[in-house]
Amino acid sequence: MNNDDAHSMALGRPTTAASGMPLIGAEAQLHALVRASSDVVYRMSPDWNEMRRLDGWGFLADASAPTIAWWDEYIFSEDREHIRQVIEEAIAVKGTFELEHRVRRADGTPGWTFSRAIPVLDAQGEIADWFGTAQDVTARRETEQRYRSLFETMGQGFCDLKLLRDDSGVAVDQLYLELNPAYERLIGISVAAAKGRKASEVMPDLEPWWTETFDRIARRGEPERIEHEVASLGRSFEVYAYPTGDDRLNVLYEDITARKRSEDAERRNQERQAFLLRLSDAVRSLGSPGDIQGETTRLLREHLNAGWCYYVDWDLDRKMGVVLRDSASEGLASLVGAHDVSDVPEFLQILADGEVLTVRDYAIYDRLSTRIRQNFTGLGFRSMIVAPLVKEGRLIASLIVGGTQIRDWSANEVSLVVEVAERTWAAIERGRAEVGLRASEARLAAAFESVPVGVAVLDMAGHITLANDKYRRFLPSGVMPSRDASQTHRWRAWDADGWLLDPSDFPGARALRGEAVLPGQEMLYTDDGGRETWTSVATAPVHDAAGQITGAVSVIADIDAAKRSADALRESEERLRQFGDASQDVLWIRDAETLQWQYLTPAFETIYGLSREEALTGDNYRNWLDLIVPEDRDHAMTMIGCAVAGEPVTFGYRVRRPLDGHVRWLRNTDFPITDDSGKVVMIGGIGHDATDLHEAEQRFQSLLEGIPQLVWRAVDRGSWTWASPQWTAFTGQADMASHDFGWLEHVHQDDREAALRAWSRAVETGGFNVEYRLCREDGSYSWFSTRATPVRDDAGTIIEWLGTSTDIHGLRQLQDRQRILLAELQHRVRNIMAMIRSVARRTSEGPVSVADYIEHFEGRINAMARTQALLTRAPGAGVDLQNLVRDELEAQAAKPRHYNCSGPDVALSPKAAEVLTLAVHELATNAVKYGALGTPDGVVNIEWSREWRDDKEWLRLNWTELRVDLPSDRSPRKGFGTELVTRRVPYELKGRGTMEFRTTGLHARIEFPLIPGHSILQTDASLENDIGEELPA
Amino acid sequence: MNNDSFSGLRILVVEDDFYLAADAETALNSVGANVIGPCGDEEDGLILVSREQIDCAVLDVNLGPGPSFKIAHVMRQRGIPFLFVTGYDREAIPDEFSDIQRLQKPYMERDLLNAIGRLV
Repeated sequence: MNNDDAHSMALGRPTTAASGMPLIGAEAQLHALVRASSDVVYRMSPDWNEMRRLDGWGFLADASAPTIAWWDEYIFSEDREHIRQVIEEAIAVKGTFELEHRVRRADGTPGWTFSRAIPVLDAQGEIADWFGTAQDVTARRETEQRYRSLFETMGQGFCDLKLLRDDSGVAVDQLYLELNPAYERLIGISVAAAKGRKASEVMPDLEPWWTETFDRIARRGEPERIEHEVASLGRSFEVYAYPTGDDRLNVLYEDITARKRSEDAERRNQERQAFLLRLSDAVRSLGSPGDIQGETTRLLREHLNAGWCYYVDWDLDRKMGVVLRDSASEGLASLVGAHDVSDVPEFLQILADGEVLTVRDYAIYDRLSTRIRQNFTGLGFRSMIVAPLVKEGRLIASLIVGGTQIRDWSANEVSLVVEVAERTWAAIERGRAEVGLRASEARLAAAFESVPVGVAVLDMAGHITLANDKYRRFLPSGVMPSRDASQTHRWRAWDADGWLLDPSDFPGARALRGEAVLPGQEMLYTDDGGRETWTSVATAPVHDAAGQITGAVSVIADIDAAKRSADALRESEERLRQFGDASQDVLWIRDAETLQWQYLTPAFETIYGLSREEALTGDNYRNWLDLIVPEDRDHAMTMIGCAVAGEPVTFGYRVRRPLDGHVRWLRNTDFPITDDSGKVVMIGGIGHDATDLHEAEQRFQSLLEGIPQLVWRAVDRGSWTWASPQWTAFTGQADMASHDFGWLEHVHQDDREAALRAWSRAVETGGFNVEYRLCREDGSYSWFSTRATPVRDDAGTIIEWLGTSTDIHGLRQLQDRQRILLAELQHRVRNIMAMIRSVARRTSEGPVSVADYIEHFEGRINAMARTQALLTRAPGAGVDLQNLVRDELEAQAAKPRHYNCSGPDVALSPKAAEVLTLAVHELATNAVKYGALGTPDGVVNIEWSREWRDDKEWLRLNWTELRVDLPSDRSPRKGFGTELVTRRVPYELKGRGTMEFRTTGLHARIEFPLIPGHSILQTDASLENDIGEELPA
Repeated sequence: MNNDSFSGLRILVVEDDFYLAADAETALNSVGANVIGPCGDEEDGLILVSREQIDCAVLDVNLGPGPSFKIAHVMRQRGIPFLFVTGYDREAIPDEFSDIQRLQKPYMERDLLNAIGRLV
């Protein structure tokens, strides 16, 4: 069509109003204006009933002759009323008609136009004509629509807001300009209700934090990412606020409640561990069951913020439940005392089955009978956890936590109660064992007092540790004469040849050297009044488990009368018997030759569970050995052999009591008794029942070895004395090797100083808490949280440290991983934004219409998006070249008969895939527009090959278009595609790219080495980063 | 910013993305600077640093295989001023370079020119 003619006709005879300009001049200007425009041009009658002419430019159907049917032709019936209204308003004021509205396009489909018409007035000032233009804005409307639908459907909440400030410039409120449906879903306020309104109106209780934060971001002008919990919604959000200037911000909300919850779970777990540690610290020093119950229940009740907590010992034979101490919050009744439970057998049965009772609401809890429920509700209970302790099939106790309100107990709380129940039981058992031990010491002291001779236990310095009054009478200074020069003069003794004994040969001194002085040394004692008394002093060394002498036992018998009496000996024997009878330990004397017992005290029956008559029947040495468990028998025989050979021995062994089959742990001290010639004639023995002590230690040990942490014991400033098997299993270091500072070898070199520093602090502050890395057996390192608590004696002095190391590697690694992912995400998003911006700018270079611009830009963004989709779907995997080429051609709707692909399998690196996708996209769009894919007979051959050049494998790809009739003077367009092939390929792929327009069509060649490259969107920042290295953030 | 102050200035540009590199080159050329490079990987960058006389440099922190600061180290040793261009946050930059200007992608041409103006 000849445009000039068309416009002349369209304009007809234009009439100008009072311009005064020569008509022909104005018309020429108008023509020029119209030619320069690509808009639709139309003319309407003054009342718009008749369309005089319309040139549609392919967008709208032409109207070459006046028509009154134009409404039907161009306007959809449902839009007519609105358009007519706007026209009438324009006619009424003789002003401009301006409206963006829907039209029926030349092909019958709906499109959008921006239409503008001005009235042409005649000399009388009346409308003679309307002259209008209509612009095709369909593409823009569609883009807007797409933006709108993305906005509506995106999962993140989006909000465009403006800060409102008071007169002094303080931000006081927010105005919601735009919100999306996800925002409504996440925040819970209606988009319709919020849009265009202030935050203070929509959400009166909105925390001021939001406005303050947005104010800070707006002032700083930098986008920020913040996590925030909205307590009223019970949800956490990640908020990304992007200031857009003029106090406006775009804000993206992401619901991260689920992630937060998992972090909370981790925190709860740590709190639980901390609580349990606090609990064990608190009860460690306690001995009596009542104290332990009191402390445990108080801590647990406070921790769970419950109404009651109590521990019941069940005496099922008497149908009683006994609470020694409990904890109840203020105003609630204590449950201390004995409770008759004979009327609630089904309650006890549930517990005896080992089931933990969890009662949310007693009012509707139908597992228990009404009567039981009334028992509890009568006391004020509404909810409850009952953790039973069933040992050896028998219900022995329960730990109960209760509240006055309905309560949803969490699984975490239930399991905590169960665990605390176990710990309480264990602590009480340990306490009982210790109390038992102390009681036995007390009994020994009582026994001392009851015997008619002086008896004492002396330490290595010769000081009295334990003695009765009859003994102290002879040692008023509390120190034995051989170690106390001020008292030596009181004592005299003579050897067999009548020589005065040197104090260094006194019985006490000899015992501390390891000799037993039995049955005794006769000594003459002189008191302050000068009165002399004959005594017999018997002593024996006391050994510890390692055989070291730790002191002596000493017996001073007043034999003054006996010396002068024929009955003296019998009396003395009687006294010894009395002492033996009173002793809790078994005392015996064996014949050194036959090893038969000559003397055996009654304590034997209590400990061995066998009467002395039976034990002494027949070969009683054999009988004794038979009582010993087989594993310990040989050792016991060897030890007795040592005593026979003249060496005092201390050893442990187990016996099985014939009475009840129970195993007892015994610790024996056996010593030789010699006659005057030094020949061993008898063996003396003291047997102590160490079962309680042993079991307590055993329980402690199994607790230490049973927990998942690495456990150790240390003294002073970190000098280890024991490491658990868990330590050895993890580090490969044996217990002994870890002792002293051997453990430090397995601490990461860089962390040793911190570990030792923590020890210096620990000694001052009484607490030890440090994180360091430990070396695994295979040489790798893991992070551990290491804590230790001091064990103190009664005087409060630290005697030992008990420590645990907990593996927190997984936690640390997760945190690091999250940090890297966040940084990488930012890096990627910002790079993509930069690249999109650059591509957007390049697309706008050269003369393009908005429609072209949108088409090209969209095509490029889509091609980039396809690469990203491929790469993110299988990160790390290569991209198949064949698929890539076909995908791009199919995206251009090229028909298979128009192209041929051939070449070997090639997996492309992310970078190469990214560049090549865009390159093929550009070649294909150009071919559709100007080349083979837009020509009926055109063909594109795409073939590629791999070849070796200089030790590198190269890919060569040829794009050859055939049967395109190109004008011979056609030169390559210096466009986006050409730059991509000839410049980006060399820059990013270190290859070559050429484009050549042959007479048959375009020939493009792309070559580059197939080495693993990197996409701008990919990174190698490793997520499997080695522990201890600085991570890129 | 007085554009004359860039005239004859020799500026090294290290950026692995072609488009961003070309944009920077165009921007710098338009104010009379001489661009050295641009180059897209670390080895090429180090070669340019050793061969060319350079007044200042614009360095991308991530040239593909994660963040790297080798070129920055050499520049620092030689006392040549430079700035970072990156999609990472500040924390990704080691402390020793905390005094170095950081342009966050995507950046405006104006920002680049202002930043270089502050360098020289």
